[in-house]
Amino acid sequence: MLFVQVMQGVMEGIFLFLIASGLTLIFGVSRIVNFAHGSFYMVGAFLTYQIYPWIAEGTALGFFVTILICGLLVAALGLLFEVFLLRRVYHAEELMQLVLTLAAVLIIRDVTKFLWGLDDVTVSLPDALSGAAVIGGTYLPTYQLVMVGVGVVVLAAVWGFLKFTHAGIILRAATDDRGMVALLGTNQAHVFSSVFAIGCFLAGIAGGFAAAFESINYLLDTRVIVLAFIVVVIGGLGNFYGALYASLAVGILKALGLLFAPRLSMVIIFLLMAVVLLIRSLRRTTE
Amino acid sequence: MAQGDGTRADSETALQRRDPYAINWRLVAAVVVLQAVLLVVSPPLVVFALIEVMIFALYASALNLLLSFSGMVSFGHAVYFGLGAYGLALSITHFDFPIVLGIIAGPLVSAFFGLVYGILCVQLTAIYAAMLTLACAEVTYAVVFQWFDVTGGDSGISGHVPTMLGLAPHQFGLVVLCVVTVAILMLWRVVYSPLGLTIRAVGQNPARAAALGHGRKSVQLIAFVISAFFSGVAGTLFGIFHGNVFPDYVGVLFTVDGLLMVVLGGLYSFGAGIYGAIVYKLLDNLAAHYFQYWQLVVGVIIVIVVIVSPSGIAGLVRRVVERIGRRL
Amino acid sequence: MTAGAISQPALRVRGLHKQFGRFVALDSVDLTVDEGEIRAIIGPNGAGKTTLINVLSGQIVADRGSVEVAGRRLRRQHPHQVAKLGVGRTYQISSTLRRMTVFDNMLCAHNAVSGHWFSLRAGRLRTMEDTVLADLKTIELDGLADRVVDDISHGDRKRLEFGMVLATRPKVLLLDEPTAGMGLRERHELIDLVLAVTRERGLTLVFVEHDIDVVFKAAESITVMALGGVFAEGRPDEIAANSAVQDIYLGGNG
Repeated sequence: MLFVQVMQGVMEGIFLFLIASGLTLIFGVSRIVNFAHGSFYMVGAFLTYQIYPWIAEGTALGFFVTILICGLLVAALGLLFEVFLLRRVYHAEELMQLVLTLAAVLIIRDVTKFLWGLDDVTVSLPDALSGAAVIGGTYLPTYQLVMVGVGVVVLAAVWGFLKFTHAGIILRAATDDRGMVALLGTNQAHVFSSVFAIGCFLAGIAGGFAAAFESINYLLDTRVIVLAFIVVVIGGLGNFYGALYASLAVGILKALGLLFAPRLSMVIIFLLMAVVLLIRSLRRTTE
Repeated sequence: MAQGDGTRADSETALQRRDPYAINWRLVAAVVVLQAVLLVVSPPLVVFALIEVMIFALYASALNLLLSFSGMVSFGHAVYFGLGAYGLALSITHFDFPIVLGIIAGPLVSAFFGLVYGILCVQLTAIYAAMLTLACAEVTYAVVFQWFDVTGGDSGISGHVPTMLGLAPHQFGLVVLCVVTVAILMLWRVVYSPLGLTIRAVGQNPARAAALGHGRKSVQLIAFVISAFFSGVAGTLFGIFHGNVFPDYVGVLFTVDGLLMVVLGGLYSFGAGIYGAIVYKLLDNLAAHYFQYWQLVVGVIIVIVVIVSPSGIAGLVRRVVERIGRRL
Repeated sequence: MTAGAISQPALRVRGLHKQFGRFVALDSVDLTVDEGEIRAIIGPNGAGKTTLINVLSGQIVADRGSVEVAGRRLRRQHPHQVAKLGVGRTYQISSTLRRMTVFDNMLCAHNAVSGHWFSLRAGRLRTMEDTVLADLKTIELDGLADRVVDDISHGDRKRLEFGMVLATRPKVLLLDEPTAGMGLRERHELIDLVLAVTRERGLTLVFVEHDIDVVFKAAESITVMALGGVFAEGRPDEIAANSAVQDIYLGGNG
C-alpha cells in the first residue's frame, strides 16, 4: 500500500515538474512570477479535448500528436501574451507584474467558460494506454507509467538543452546574471520571449496529459497553479534542479498525506513550504 | 484627498508648501453627507450595494497600507477580514460574549493573527514573503473549513448576531458609514504621520531606510498588524451585515478581490482602496447582472490600467482635479 | 585630551576576510582611520572596495576579522543598528526614496533620528519643516524641495542622498563613489560640499572613488586596494610616487 502511494507520489511529482519547470525557468530568466501559468495548462487540457477527436481519436499516436500540437498552440498563445503585454512591465514594480498575470488568469478563465462551458469534460484514453502493468505485485496504470516516461524524456531534453546547446548556455547565464546576456551580445527580449514560450509549451503538454486522467473544467487553473508555485518556491525560485527535487517531495508528500490524513494533505504541503522558507531566511542574506 | 491650507509664511524661502498631511475636513464632510443622503433616499437593494462598497473600501484601504506604502504584498489578506467575522461569531457562540464585546473582539482577533503571521512573514521579502502570507492563509482556511465542531465547517455560523443588528438597511448603512469613515481617517493618520513616513521609507527603499536607522522587520510588522486590524474591522462589519460567517470569508477569492481593488484604484495613492472598491463593486453588481463574464471585463480593465495608466483611477481623479483646479 | 594624546581611531579594521563562493572579495584587510581623517579608497574594479564599505556598514557579515567603530566592536549588527552607532553611508547607485519629494526624503531622514518615528502625531512632522529646509539649503537643493525624486537629475539625487546621510548626524561617513556618473563640474561641486561639511563638523570621511582628480583633491590619506587586499597606504604624494600603484592601475583598469 505504502509502495503504491509512493509510486503514485513519484508520478504526480514528475507530472508537477512538467508544470513547475516552466514556471521556474520563466522566473529565473525574466523575474516574472507568472500566475497565468496554470491557465496555460488549463488551455492545453481543453485544446486536447477539442482537437483529439479530429486527429485519429483512439490511437496512441494520435494522442501524442494532439498533445504536441496543443503544446505548440499554448506556446504561441503564451508568446502573444509575452510580446504584447508582459514585455511592457518587465521594468515595472513586482506587484504590477503579478497583477497583470492575475488579470490574464481572469480573462483566460472567462474565455474558457465561454468556449467550453462550465461542465466537466473528459478525454477518453487511447486503448493502448488504458491498461495496467504489474510491478512488484501491484497494478500500476499504463498511462501513468507512460507519463513518467514522458516526464523523464522532457526533463532530459530540457537538461540537455540547458547543458549543451548554445541557447541553453545563454539561458543559464541569464538566470545567474541578467546583465550577462547583454554582454554576450544576445538580444535580451528574444531570450525572455523564447523562455516564456518554452515554459508555456511545457504547461500546455502537461495540460494535455492531464486531460486524459482528470476531469477538465474552468477551475483547473487555480488547482494547479498553487501547487506549482509551492514546488517552485520550495525548490528556490528560478532553480531548475531545485524544482525537480521539490516536485518529487511535494508529490510524494501529497500522496502519503492522502493516505494518512486526507483532509490535511494540502495543509501539510503548505507547512512544508513555510518551514523551508523560514529556514532559508535564517541564513542571513548577503545583499 | 486632502490638501489643507498649511502654507508657510516664510518669505525667506518663499516656498508655498502644500501641507499634504492635513485632513481636508470639508471634503470628508461633503463625502459623508452625500453618502448619508444616498443611504437614506435609496431603495434597499441600492443601500445593500452601498453598504458593501463601504465595507470593501475599508478592507481595500487596509490592504493598501501594505501594498502601496509598506512594500509588502499579501496573498492572504482575506484571513484578517474573515477572522474579524469569525472573532465576532465565536466570541458570542463559544464564549457567551455580549454582542458589543463580540464586535470589539472581531478586529482584535484579526490583529492578533496579523501579529503572529506577520512575525513569520516579515522574516522574508518580496515574493517569498507573499508566498508565506499565502501559506498562512491556506492553513487558516483549512482549519476554519475543517474544524467542524468550532467553526461549523462548510456551513459556517449564523444566528449569533441579528442581521444588521436588527436595524433597517439605511440605519445600518449609517452605522457602517460612521465606522468606515472613522477607520479610514485613522488609516490616513497612520500613513501621514511620523510612523507612516517611516513605513513609506522602509517600503520604498529598505536599504536606505536601514542606513537611516530603521529596521525593516519591525516597521513592516507594525504595518502588517495595523492592516490586519482594520481588515478585521471591515470583516466584522461584513459579518454583522450578513448575520453569518462562512469559510469563504477567509478564502482566496476575497483576497483576490482586495488586490484587484487596490490596483484598479491606483497603487501608491491613499485613495486606491476607496476608488477601487467603488468601481469593482459597481462592476460586480452591474456587469454581473447583465453579463455572465464580468471577470473578463475586470481582467481587461486591469490590463489596461497596468499597461496604460499604472496610477489607476486615483491617478485619473488626480489629473481631472488638477485640470479643474487650473481652470478655476 | 591634549593634541598629542592618542585618540581612539574612528574606524579600526583587523584581518577582515570575506569570500563569495570561490571569489575572495576581502583578503585579510587591515585599516585604521583616525577621527576627523579624510581617507580615500581606490583600486581597480573587483578590488573589494564596495565589499569593504558593505562590511563596515553592516550590510555584509565578514567571514573573519574584526571591525571597530569609535571603539565599539561590530558583531553581526544589522545595517540599521550600525547606522545608530553613527555610521552614515551612501551607495554607488544613489539610494533615495524615489516616489517621494525631495522635501519628504529629507523629512524621512530627520524623522528617522527624531526618536519619534513611531509617533502618530502629524504635528511632529510640521515641527521639523524648518530644519529640513535649512538642510536642503546646505546641500543647495531647496529650490527642488517639492519635486519628486524620480524627476530630478542624477547629480541632484546623489546630493540628496548625501544630505540625508548628514541629517542623521553621523560621526563617520562612508561614501561609495559619491560622484559616480556625474559631470565634471557637478562632480567637483559635490566633493567641495562634502569636504566643507566634513571639515566644519569634524567628521571622519571614508570614500571610494574612481576619479583620481577628486581623490587627490580631497583625500588626506589614500588606501589602495587590489585583489581584496590592501596594496598600499599613505599620503597622496606618497601614493602618487609609488610606481607599483601605477602598475596595478595601468594593468588592472586598462
